[in-house]
Formats: sequence, structure tokens, C-alpha cells
Amino acid sequence: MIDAIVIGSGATGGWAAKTLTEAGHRVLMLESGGPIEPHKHYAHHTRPYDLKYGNRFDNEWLQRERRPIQSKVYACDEYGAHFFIDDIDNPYSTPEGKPYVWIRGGLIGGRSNVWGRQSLRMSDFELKSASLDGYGEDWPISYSDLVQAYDEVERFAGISGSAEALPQLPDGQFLPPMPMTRGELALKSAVEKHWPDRRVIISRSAVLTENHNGRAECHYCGNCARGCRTHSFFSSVGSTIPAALATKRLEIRTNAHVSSVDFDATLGRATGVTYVDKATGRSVRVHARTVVLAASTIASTRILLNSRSTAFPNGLGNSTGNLGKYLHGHVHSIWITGIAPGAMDSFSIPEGDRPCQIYIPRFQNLGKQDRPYLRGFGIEGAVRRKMLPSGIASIPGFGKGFKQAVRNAVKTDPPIFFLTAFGEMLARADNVVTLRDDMRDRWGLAVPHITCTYGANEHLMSADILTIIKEIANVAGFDVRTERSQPGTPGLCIHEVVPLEWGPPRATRCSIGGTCSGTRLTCLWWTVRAMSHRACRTQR
Amino acid sequence: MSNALRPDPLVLLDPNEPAATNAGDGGLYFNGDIPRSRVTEFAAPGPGWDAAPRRTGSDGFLNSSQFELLEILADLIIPTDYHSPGARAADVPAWLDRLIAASPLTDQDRWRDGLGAIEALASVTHTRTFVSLNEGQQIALLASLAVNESTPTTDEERFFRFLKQAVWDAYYRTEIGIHLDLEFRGNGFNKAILRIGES
Repeated sequence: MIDAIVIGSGATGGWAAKTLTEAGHRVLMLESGGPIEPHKHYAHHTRPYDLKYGNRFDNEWLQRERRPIQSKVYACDEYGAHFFIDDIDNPYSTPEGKPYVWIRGGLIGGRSNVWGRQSLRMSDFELKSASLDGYGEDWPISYSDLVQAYDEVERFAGISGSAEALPQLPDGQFLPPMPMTRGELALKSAVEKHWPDRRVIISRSAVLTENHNGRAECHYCGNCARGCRTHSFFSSVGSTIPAALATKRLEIRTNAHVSSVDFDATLGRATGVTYVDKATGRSVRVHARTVVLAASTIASTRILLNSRSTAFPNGLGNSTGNLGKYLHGHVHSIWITGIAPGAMDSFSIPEGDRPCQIYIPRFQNLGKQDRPYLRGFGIEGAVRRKMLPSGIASIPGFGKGFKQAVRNAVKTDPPIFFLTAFGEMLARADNVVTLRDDMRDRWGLAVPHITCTYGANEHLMSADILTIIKEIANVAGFDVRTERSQPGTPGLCIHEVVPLEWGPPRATRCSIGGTCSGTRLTCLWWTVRAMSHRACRTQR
Repeated sequence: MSNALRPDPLVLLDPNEPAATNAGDGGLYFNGDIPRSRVTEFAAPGPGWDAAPRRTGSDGFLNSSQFELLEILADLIIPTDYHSPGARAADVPAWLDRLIAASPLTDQDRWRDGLGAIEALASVTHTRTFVSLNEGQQIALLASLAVNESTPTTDEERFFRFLKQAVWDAYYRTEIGIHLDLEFRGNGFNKAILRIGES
């Protein structure tokens, strides 16, 4: 007998399973992907010479046969391609000339195995942005509703960071912050002196700086995106799923590819889930009073749209026809890189990497409209050395002299820096996920059709991002060598959000604001709150 | 070089790749998780370094004379010195050969044509194969291609630039390049990073 079904085993699915099982519920977790074996799959200490091609190929070339889309993301390389789904078996479509990159996890833990770990709280500048600038709708909650569950999430997951008392980026329950490099300290000092409203802080990262809840502190090998065997960064595999399993009330089924949530019109509620067992191809029904959709933004939307019944011919949660609309993510991948002279002694030899970056919290359009676009962005960056010297490509000649020059340059070449930003994308009704009944995946399920483009606001913001990060580099005395001025393909930042309706139907309910801080922590907050609420109600 | 092989400056400057070139031996082991490096086999300098045999059952692309030429060229670009073994001892030619075999056709053509051009140059200047020249002649010939390295004009000069980058890129991904030559200690269990912000 199962009390609840959790669809998905990533960050939110793991947390849902933990909260429900700890409250006494028997939970069945369904994962579309395969099982994970951390000692086999996590490759944080794999060296290039342990790989067939030394990670020397462009990902898209190496993965061209099975993962032509997934390989567009940095983590889907020769070290970590196995974390991602097979694009040929799992197709989706986009309109002609409007690409959207949908990155999907293919193992237990989903994308939490390899995520970016930045964990920022949202503030009322984001939750109530419609009241501030008139675009879209406010979230139906405010920051004060979030505090308690944010605290709970941070205490369990372990977030390192510094308290800064910034209204646009509320502080949390932090483990000690990681240090900045000398080049970053120089940047901080220059920026904060030049612009009193800009602050340079260390990232708030879901990486442990001390042993925490039975997980080991970070050992700074610098390869989080390949999976971490010591579980020093937060993933469902390393923390919430073990906690749920410890209750002995969690069962996990892999290769369980959910097609729909079953709805009983007589009972007036969901009664369970239908999934395809990928191993046998057979359709399987499981029953439970509670169904939790944690299959990722677009996959959960697909499941709801596909949950069609006489009572709900357009899918569950879609009586207004708004489900799937207002898809958004981040404006991303506008960046500059170059050399940070003057920071030569930032450290003598690179012995790994710090698993977080520096962060400049949003300073645009806070309280007053001071930019030619709505909302804002946060800047990320770093100044650091790598194994090879920054100028190796321009060391002339060959032979012993070249070899010695490389060794010398390791000690004398200045560090490199980069600056980039993640900006809020306005939620628009024409950015939408629909279902294609005429296109099926390998297991016969209808696949999503994803339409998502940047609008005028995003392009204005993009131009401003490039101007501002160049100004910052200039003030810090850095030498810009390369830049990217166009935002990256929508979706590739893997921060996608589709709002769901709650409460009585209203036409514009779904157009809640996006966020420049990202929603990972807020997704976890939502999971905790919803699951605790569900657990209480079911007990009553 | 086609898009399939990583462009060199961006490998070092790509913000999306926080540590892809950070590979190495941590030195400080935390538990039994990580196998000891195999570099101890090469720990003592000596002539044995240059004797690394070509892999048996080669899965490469080049024929034996092309491969022999690549072995010589790679070792001229990164030779064994007082500090560490060179490209040949690090098995760079065999690794490159395997990469070429998996590369797009345009890259394979580039290697075949480029190696052929160097062979032709040796034939024109010395009426002998490059491999049969003495080391001084080989170095002089290669140096003539390296003169315009920053702004190559001929096919041979362009191939030298391409070859040199391929060789160092491969060398610094090998055990010898990472551990013995650069003495890189990252990508392992390491706390030293915590000192980076200290003055």
C-alpha cells in the first residue's frame, strides 16, 4: 500500500520523498532514468588520461550520435555524458528558427548530480515585482512567508556564504563562506569604491565548508560538474534520498517513464499514475492518494497536459488553458574573459578549484526604474589560475626552450578572469510548452513542443549586461580578451520555470514574475511547504 | 582545425568550463577512493623514457611512416629534458593518432596533408625522408616553419602551428605532462585552496 507517488528523483523529488517519509508516509518514487552508482558515475577525480579521448573533443562532436542536444551543456562531456538522457530516444520539437535547448538528467538524482550549486533566496523585489513595475502578476506569497522553510532547506542542505544584509538578496542560514582570491578581492575593492550601490560577495553555494549532517566538507578538487563522491555539494542522491531511505518507507523504481496522472471523476481526485516500464515496454498503473510532480519543469508539464480525461479534456490543472504558458528562464551566457594583471600573486600554484564564484547582486531597478528595461540581473565571475598558464597559446617556438617557458609561465602568468550574468526573463504567454500527439518518444508517449524566445526586454538587458561587465572589468584594471554579446540559446542555462495555477481560475494568474536569483532554493522551499502541508492534512 | 577539436584560448578562458583543464594528482588522499598514480613507473630519469612502444593493436588513423614522422615531430616539439620525459615517452603520438581516427574527415585530411607537406619539404631540401635526417637538420627544418608562427603564410607554416598546439594540448593531458612536468597537484583531495585569499 502506497500513500504517495513522487514522480522524479531530482532536487525536489528527493525533498518531497524525505518530507513525506519522515512524516510516516509510504512513498513510491518513479524515475524515468536509470539507477545511479556514485562510484561508477561520479567522475570528479577522473583525469584526462583516464578517458579514451582525454576530453579533447568538442562535446557536440563526440556526442553527436546519441546526445546532439544534451552535449550543448558544459557538463555533458566525455567525463559526464552518462548523466544526461539519450536525445534520440527522447525527442521534443521546437518551431523552425526558434531553438530551445532542453537539458535533462538521465539517472537517479537527475540534474542535481551535476548542477551549478548557486543557492540564492528570492526577495520581495522579485516576488512582488508586478506591484513595483506593473508587468505581469505578483507571486501570491511574500518573502515573510518563505523565511521559515528557507531556513529549514538551508540547514539541511548546507549552504556556504556570507551574511551581507542586502534587501535584494536576503541572508540565510549559512555555513562559513569560501575565500576570495586576491584578484577577486582587488575587484571587490575597486567596484565597491567606484559604485557604492554595487557589492561583490562570495557566491552562496550548496557546497559544504565544514562537515554537515553526515556529509564531508568540500575538498576543493574543482570538478563538481562531474559528480561528487563525497557528496560535499547538495544533491538528492547524497542527502535527501538517503534520508528518505533511512525511514524504510521509500521505494524507488527506475526506468518508470510516467505518461499521466490518473483522475477519478467520481471521487473527484487523482488516484495514481500510469507509467511505461522502459525495460518491458508495458504500461503499469500504481495507486496512491497523493501524487507529487517533481519531474522537472517541462516534463511535469508534459505529464499534466497528457493527463486527459472526460472531466479534464485538456489535461490536469489546465481548465483555463494556461498550463504550459509563460515558460521562462534566464538571460544568460553574455560574458567577457581575459587577464587580471596585478593579481599575479593571487596564489602560487593552482591546486584545484574553489567550487563557487563571486557574485554581484542585482543593483538595477531596485525600488526605482533606472534602466531602459524591466527587472534586473546578478553578475557572476571569478579570478583564478588554471593548470596551464593563461598565455600558453602565445609562447613561441618549440623544444626544450618552449617546455621550460611553459613551466616558467605557470609561476608568472597572471590569472584569468571571467564575468557573466543571469538576468530575469519576463514571463510571456507566447513562450509555451504544448503537447505533440503526432510525435512520440521511443516508448510511445507524446512529446513536448517548446516555444521560447527572448523579447525586446531581454535584448535591452543583454546589451546592458555587456556594457556593465566591461565597465566593471575596466574599473578593476582587467584586460578583456574575449567577449560574447548575444544571450545563449533559451533553455541552455537550465533554469526553466513554468508557473502553475493555484486558487480559483483567473486569466492572467500564470504570469508571475521570473527572478534573477534563480529558483532552486525556492523550488525546495515550495516542496517543503507543500509536502509538510500534505503530510498534516492526510494525517488529519 | 575544425570545430570538433577544442580551440586553445577558449579552453583556458571558457567560463562554462570551470576546471576542465585542471586535471592532476591530489597527492593528499582522503580515503581509498582514488588509485595511486601510475607515474612512479617514470619516476627516474633515463633513456628508458624514450622507449615507450607504440600501442599494440593500434586503433589509430595514420600509417606506419606517417606515425613514425609524428613521433619524431612530437618529440622535437616537447622533448625529454632534465626535468621530465617528453611527448613520445608520454605516448602523445599514439593518443593523437587515436584522436585523428575519431575526428571529422576535414581534420583527418589536414593531418595527412600536413605530415605529407613536411615530408615533401625534407625531400626538397635534403632529398631524404624527415625521419632519416639528423637531429640538427630536423630542428633546423622545423625552425624554418616556426619563424612566422604568429602569422603563418604557407600551408607548412600553418600546419606547424596546428601540430604544435595539438602536441602540447595532448602532452599536458597525460600523466607525465600533468604530474611530472607541471607538477600539478589539483583535481584531488586538497585543502590548499583555502589559503588562496590570504596575503
